[in-house]
Amino acid sequence: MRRSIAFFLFVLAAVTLSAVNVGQVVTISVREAELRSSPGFLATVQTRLAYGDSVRVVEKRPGWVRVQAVDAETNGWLHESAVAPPADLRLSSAGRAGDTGASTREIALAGRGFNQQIEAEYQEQQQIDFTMVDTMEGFLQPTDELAAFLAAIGGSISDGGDQ
Amino acid sequence: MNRSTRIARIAMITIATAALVVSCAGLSGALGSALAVGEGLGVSGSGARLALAGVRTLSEVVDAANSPFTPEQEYYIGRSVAATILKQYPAYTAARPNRYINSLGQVLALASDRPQLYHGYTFLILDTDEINAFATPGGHIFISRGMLRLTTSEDEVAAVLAHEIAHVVHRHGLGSIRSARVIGALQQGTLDMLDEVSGAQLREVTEIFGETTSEILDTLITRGYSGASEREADASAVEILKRVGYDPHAIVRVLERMDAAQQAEYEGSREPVGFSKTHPRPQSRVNGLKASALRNVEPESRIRTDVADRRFREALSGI
Repeated sequence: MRRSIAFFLFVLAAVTLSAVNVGQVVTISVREAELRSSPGFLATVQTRLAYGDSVRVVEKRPGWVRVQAVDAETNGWLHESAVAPPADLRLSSAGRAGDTGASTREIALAGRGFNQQIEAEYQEQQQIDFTMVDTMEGFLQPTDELAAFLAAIGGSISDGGDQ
Repeated sequence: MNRSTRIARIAMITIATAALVVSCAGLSGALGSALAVGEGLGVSGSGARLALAGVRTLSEVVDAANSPFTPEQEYYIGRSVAATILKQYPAYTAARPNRYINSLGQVLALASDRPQLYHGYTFLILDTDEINAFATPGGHIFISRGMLRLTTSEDEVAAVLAHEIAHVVHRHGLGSIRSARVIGALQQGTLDMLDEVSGAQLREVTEIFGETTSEILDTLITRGYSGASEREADASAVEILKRVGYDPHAIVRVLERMDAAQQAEYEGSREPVGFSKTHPRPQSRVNGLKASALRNVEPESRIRTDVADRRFREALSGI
């Protein structure tokens, strides 16, 4: 069982090739990012950042980055898939790629084409009901429950990133 | 007929004609690497506009690392695709089996190459005998009762869910978009407005949104993904199963049962069933898997299968 945990940690860490580099300013690409105390899905959540927030990459491990909010002291570990180069949030269309100021977030969060406003308009036109979609989205389970689910069969989600 | 009515009609017709689809059940042979997260060249922003010149389908520029849509846009497209699927298929709302497939699916997603999405991966059982599963670009994953009934163990359910997760990871739904209008809008930056829109711009963006949604529905329900996408999803599913410790050969067992179910449907029917035109026989995909992703891979499980299969039975016995 110990072996399988170690193996799982290893493969989880090894799977994601990196697209971001230390020193680079990147953007949070998930609605709510949990910054953790160490690289692993079970590590303590220290703080949360919102979609579009700018952060600087200060350290890298396989699959994980430690980031520092550019306008605050906040720092912590995120899985790489939770961040994107600013261009990925189409900031460059406004000529702001690489901008590290607070304005970056405002631009990234604003509008963006398909959003709640467009959904509302589409819903009205098509008579689509989103109730069940909302219910389904509520099925997200906390990471510690997922870890328990996996532990029951002898597996483990990264428990803090000790490799 | 105005455009939105037409889009709605296309969506409804495509859904209605998919009586017994084994659409994404395309667990096929595997080519290439599951680790398809390449160097992110950031196909987006002004770069996306350049990259989109002359593009005929978005598959030319979309993969696990690149998308011309923002994560938020992918999420809203996914919601709309999910809501439309639920217009046709009622949800099976029993709490226990849904909790089970969410635990299982979300564990598998953490082991994927893209564990973090704008919202995250959530799973819902569809109340239909049809053998089917769908994934939206926003991480909404559906599995039918008919599909669940074909499975006999936790690793087999995991194989189906991992295959669907892989379609999200690789952005196969978005890649299937061929609409010149949608591609043109991305290229021209039509979706780059910064504030709330109104009037003609609101109508235009909503139409493009509807067209994006119906293109993806068309792929999920009628057209099917490309063979290459199915093979890529299979390869990734095998990888995910191995990472967590499930037997990667579970995918073969499900496919063989799907193949048998499909043959049973054919019997007595002179008319070819619709999906046979767009979906190769599951058995041919088994052969593909054995020649690539599962080549030289022994059936092996590193998990406690007794515990896994007990909870599988407890959660899904009534399905």
